[in-house]
Amino acid sequence: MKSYALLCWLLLITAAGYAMFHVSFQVEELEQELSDLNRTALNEQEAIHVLRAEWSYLSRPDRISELAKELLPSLRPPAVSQIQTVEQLPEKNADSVIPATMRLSFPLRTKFDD
Amino acid sequence: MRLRASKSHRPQRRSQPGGRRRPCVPCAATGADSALKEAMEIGRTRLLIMGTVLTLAFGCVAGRLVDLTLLRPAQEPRAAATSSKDVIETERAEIVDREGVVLATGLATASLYANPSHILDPDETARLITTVLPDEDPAKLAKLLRRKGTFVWLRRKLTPDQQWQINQLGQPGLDFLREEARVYPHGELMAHVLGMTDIDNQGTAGIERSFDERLRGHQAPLKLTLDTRIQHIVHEALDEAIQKHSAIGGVGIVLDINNGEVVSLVSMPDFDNNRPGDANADQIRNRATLGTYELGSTFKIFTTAMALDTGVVVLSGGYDATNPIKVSRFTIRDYHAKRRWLSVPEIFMYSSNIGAAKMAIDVGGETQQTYLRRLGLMTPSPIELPEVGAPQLPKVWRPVNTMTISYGHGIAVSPLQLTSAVAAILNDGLYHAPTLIKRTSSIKKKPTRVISKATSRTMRRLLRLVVDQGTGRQAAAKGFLVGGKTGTSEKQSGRGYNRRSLISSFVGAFPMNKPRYVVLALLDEPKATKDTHGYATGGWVAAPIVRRIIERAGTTLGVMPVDEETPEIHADLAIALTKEGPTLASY
Repeated sequence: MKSYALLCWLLLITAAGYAMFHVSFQVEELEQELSDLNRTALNEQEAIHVLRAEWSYLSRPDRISELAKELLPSLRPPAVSQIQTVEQLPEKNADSVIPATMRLSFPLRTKFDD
Repeated sequence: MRLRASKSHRPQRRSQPGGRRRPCVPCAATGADSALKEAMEIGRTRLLIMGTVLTLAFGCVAGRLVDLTLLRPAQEPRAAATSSKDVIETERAEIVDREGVVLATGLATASLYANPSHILDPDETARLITTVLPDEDPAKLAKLLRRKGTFVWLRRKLTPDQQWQINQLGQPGLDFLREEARVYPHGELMAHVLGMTDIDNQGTAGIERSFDERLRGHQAPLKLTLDTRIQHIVHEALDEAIQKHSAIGGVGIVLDINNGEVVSLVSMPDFDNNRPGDANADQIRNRATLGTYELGSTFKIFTTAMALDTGVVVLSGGYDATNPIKVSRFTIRDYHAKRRWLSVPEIFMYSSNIGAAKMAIDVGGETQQTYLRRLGLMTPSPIELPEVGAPQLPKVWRPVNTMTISYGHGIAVSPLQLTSAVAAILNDGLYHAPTLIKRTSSIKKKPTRVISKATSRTMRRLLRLVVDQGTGRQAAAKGFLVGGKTGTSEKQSGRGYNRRSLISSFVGAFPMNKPRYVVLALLDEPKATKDTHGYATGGWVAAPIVRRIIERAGTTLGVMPVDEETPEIHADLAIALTKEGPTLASY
């Protein structure tokens, strides 16, 4: 009986020891993973930071207007008469067709077409 | 069983260390054996001690193993530092526009330094460095590399390409430090507002200087009231006009009437604040806030407003503007002379100096100063920039000063001061200090009352009249109900005025039935061209800039174009020109 209890204890201790080490190593592994992810996140944040600056640089209004002139030659700045509010639009009905005046009268052309 | 047996014996053995012998059952107790037994007993004891020591040692190792694997000390860093924010930590906070567009940010760069004690051949190293950085002087570099010590800067903030090439040289003793370089993605577009920083990232001009501590202390971006799109439109319109009229400079301002926010502020010529070293003093000078000018007839807005507000004249009243006024050595005459009695709206519309001067005399010098002070024209603009010019005022306020100031001579203020004063006149008489920093409504300053609401309403009509029928017709952006006032003044040269070098300006606002924005355009020394019929006055050169700005930026600013001919708008803005004359029904 005594030996049986001892065996139980031994088994318990072994199991607990194993579990403890197992969890410990798992934690370590996860920590490593977290650390890696954090490092990646930091790198990504840095990249985003640089890209934000680059986006701001590339979306400069003067550059956009140059590009628009070059690549969208048929577009012009909107005239005051072209600006309407939603309220000014006619009521939409089911069988309405798009009037010819609202279709594009020119082909949208970009440099990359040819 | 054996386990049990040995276990049961152990306590016995331990209780009698080195003492009596254990009974040895299988052996017989003979005298010859006793010596052997003695020796074995000693051996056992030694073994026991040895075993105990080893057990303890292994126990220690096991304990330490558990300690190291399971119970690690708290101070050991477990994971790489995390950043909970969306943006990385930078030395200086970003500056963004009202829409969040990045205007200034810090980017990591490498700076080259040397450890002279590790340099093998200073001359050769210096020569190699100059192959990558040709603008460095090899003799100077070699001298730096011969210095005693372990640290010397060679070149700050290299491009990635330069860094790579230096690395390629493979010279020992050269190394890089990560530094932050301030970058302005929009270049010259907002150079005057943003200002710049020095090599150590300390603000030296503009917002960078006035908010230096804030930018270094907090990570949150500093939000300005500027709008990049509007800034571009103003910049472009002004640039075109400067080219066309060969002006030496110009100013463009868009100000929100209802809260004093500066939506756009352009001063030309400008510079790229990514390369401030290339700019000259004239380019760096902010004409909009630091420059002070005699702005001419735009001051009639204030003269008329104070005359109507104090009640010295009513709208249907007027003055005789037949003859020029002679005061001491000055003669005040009209540019667009009508040589007759003029009503107040006519004085304003035709920009009569004589009428304005007479009006100002009726108001009185003291009252004039009180009003100008309230409008913020006697003290430097409270704008959040270090480059703010103090207005130039007469030392003694004589009646002649009162008269000349009534039409904007003998007083020099910055274009921004004028703009915010006009905004106050149109904003139901409430003055908002101009600001470049976007604030939440809770910490906004209370506006101060300058003139009555009724006077402000009348002034709207008068300004609208100038664009509809007076000197400012070129500013009429159809649909936006523009109102405004032209101003042309001669620049002082020596003791007199130079008739050929003008400051031509136009201050406009829209939509006049409920003004939202004031737009100012100013050209410094514009030259007349063929299509301005030889004129370089505000109405001919500056008013078209304002029209262009409003036409392009109006809807972006949230103002919808309207039909200018509806009865409601007529009722809002109509004005009786003379007491006897007809009310302009067509207005």
